[in-house]
Amino acid sequence: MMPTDPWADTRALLADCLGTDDLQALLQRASLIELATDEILLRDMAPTDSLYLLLDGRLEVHVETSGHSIRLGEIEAGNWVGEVAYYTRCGTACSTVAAMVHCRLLRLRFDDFTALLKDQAEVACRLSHVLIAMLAQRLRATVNDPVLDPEGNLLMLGDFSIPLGQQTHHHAGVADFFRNLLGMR
Amino acid sequence: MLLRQYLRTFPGFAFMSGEDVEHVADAMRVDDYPDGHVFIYQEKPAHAFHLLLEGTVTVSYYGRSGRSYSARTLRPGDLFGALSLVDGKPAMANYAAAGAVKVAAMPLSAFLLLYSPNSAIGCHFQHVIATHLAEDLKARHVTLRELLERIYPPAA
Repeated sequence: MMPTDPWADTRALLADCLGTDDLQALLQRASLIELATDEILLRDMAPTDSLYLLLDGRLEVHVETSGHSIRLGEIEAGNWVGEVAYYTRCGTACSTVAAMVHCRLLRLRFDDFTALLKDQAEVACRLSHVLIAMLAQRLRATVNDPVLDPEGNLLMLGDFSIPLGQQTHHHAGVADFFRNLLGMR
Repeated sequence: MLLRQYLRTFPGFAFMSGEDVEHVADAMRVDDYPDGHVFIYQEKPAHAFHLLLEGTVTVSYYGRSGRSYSARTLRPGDLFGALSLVDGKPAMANYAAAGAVKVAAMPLSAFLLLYSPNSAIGCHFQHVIATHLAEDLKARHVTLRELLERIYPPAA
């Protein structure tokens, strides 16, 4: 009997996210986790050691302190979380991330991403490119001060997540950058 | 020499070889700028990636009401300007010299060549940019937490 592939139904999403079918090096280092509704994935300022790609479901992101919080937005499938803690090497989450519904995620430990950067530069580079796009989106979504909703909750108005269809799917290099800058398709 | 020393000390450059760092340094030009010089204007595209070497740069932005807010002050060793170059959208803030400053600037054309993912140096440079953007986002979250503490002061 053939062993079952735990990634069988997520390869297409991963290939779409990273713009490549060469996923073996990444998947060898990754694991699958699931979250129940309202379960906390990351707690603001608490230790963390992994990047996560949301495969199914929806996440909610807050910054919080002393029992009060600002809602930054929602994360939809195809988006990563945990990248700030990795790149800043602080070892702590910079926001609280919780499941709005049942969620399934790919987990990639920081040490494994670093190993990927050293050993499998092309895949790691594709992932870095995607993470830069997410960082840029989140920076723009949090530039303004929060507003109060009718219930008195503080929230940010920008889009915190990048729809999968709007993500960079391919790596054509400088030519594509210039095309994008000039608005050419 | 000063520029190469600076670059090698940055965590984001951890994956770059000495030769890579030399290439990055060669793509940057160091100049002195007077007090008040504006490097990047809010709502305008950035034209260069900057590294502050000496002095301070003030980051400010116009809010939805049109009021100007001081966001943060950059110190020597801080990078700025990458966001607009990465996503091709206008800058979110004004970056102006507060006093005389020395800044290393990498023009857009050199930035895009280095940022290309089709080379080893491009991959390593992307790590530099990701680290820089992550530091900016982390700083923004700190600011939001400070805002929360002003709105809801901890009980004495």
